Amino acid sequence: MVSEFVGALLSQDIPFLRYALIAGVLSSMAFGVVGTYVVVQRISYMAGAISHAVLGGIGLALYLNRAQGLTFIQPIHGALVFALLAAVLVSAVSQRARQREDTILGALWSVGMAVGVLFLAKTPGYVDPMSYLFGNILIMSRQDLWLIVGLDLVILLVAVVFYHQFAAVIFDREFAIARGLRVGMYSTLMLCLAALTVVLMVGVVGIVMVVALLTLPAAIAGLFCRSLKAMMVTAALLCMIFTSTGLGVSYAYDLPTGPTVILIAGIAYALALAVRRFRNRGGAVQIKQGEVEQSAGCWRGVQDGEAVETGSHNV
Amino acid sequence: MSGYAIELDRVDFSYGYVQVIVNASLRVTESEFVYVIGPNGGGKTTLLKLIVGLLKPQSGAVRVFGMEPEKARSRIGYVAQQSSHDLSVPMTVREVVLMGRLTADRIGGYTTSDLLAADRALERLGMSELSDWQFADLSGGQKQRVLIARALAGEPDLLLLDEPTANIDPAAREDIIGLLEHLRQEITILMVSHDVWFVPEGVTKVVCVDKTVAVHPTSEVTAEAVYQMYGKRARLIRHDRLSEEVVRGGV
Repeated sequence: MVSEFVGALLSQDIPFLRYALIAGVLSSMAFGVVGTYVVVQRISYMAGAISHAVLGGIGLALYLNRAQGLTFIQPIHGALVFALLAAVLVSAVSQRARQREDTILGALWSVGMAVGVLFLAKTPGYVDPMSYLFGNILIMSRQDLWLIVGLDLVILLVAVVFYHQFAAVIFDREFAIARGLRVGMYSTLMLCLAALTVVLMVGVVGIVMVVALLTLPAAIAGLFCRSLKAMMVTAALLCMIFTSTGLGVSYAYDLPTGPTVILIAGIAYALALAVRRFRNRGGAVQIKQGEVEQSAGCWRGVQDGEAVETGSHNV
Repeated sequence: MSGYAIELDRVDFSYGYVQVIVNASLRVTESEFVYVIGPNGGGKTTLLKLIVGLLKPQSGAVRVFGMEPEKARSRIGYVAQQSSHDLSVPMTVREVVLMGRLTADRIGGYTTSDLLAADRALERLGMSELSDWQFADLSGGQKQRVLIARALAGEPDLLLLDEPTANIDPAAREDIIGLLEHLRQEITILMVSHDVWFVPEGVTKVVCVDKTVAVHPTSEVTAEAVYQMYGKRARLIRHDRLSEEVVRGGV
């Protein structure tokens, strides 16, 4: 079965399988890195709203392409524009109108999809929204692949260059402001990265399920990793494993790829939670040892020689 | 240059309709050690946030080293109350302290001098051995020391601390007070505390904040004054002539 899959990958007749694998493996790096940011900052609901709003852009792009004859506009272009617009909007709302954040996110989510569906309805020829909602590796082209490669590099570059700033904003926003960091800008940038990342896998898993692929590998990694960097690398590897396994399984059993990938990620997360729980029970003795070490390494402070006088003040 | 580390001139601040700070004026010269006390909800933390520039006054002016707070941030070390950070983010002690090296205009990784400054700060707080520990695994007192180290890592000229000794055991408290008494020879310190009975050695000014700001030289803060402030919430402590001057001076 595995050799059959490998054979299919190498076959010239079905390039889309190869494209999907390459797209999956490449995108996984961005998914691991950005997914970690999204998970530790707990903004997966924002990523969800952005990814759903992307359908508006896909619909608009297809409409312009087919109804208006602007053939250079591809669905992925519309997806990119809408994703970035949605990210900037979400960021502005979360910074300026916090009280209404969930309402506006919900509206963005639905209105984006409504726009997409209406455009698709007015697009000549038959367009199956299912392909974009739940992924369809058949819609991926060689051009898309190049765009994915480029985007992947941009995302990774930004995420690495601003790593310490992002980490500071996530860990302690108030302190980051007190250090003079432009926290609002970094938050917006982070959401834009999430938006671009989501678009990378529209072809493989679709916009409805892509958030799971963004968050589950990072969430699994978060259960076992003790640094953000380790979390990012582990999440990227897990994402690669999920997408390529999902692709293989869906090919072998003739299943839709997107749901297969997501189901594998979901099962892995459930297993990871179980393993973590089990390990915590067994690890009770180790934790006790750690406590002893901790108190042994306790602070030997500055106070030697400087007697702290409590009574000398005329309070 | 005004020569003042901190200068508040008739500052008003309110959260919505709730007036928190009313017509507060305060001048702190460089290398002073200022001890800020006052009842809960009296505006101590608000005052600190105004000085860091996390909050903007509705009227009046705040200056730090003669500049707007935003422009002086690289010279300020800020230790907030323990609630502002997210313990679910995996971070080692060293990573937390290195955040104190970040400034507005830098990008990319930390330099050798950043790493050295962080190590020095950790050493000062006696936390070197725990630098590879997860921050979340530390005890309350240890966390507080790391947060002070983070503020010191930026090599500030002004250190602002918001109740650094709250919720920690007496031994750790004495350690931190001892460090501050030592540090005051180098930099300006402003420390908020709920503890009115124990004013650290070397404090040059005690500031009482209860909507308004009253300044007292250490020797003038009497037990009677403190009773008055805390016993009957609404009344301010007796002002001596000097502080009357400071408070009302600009009006």
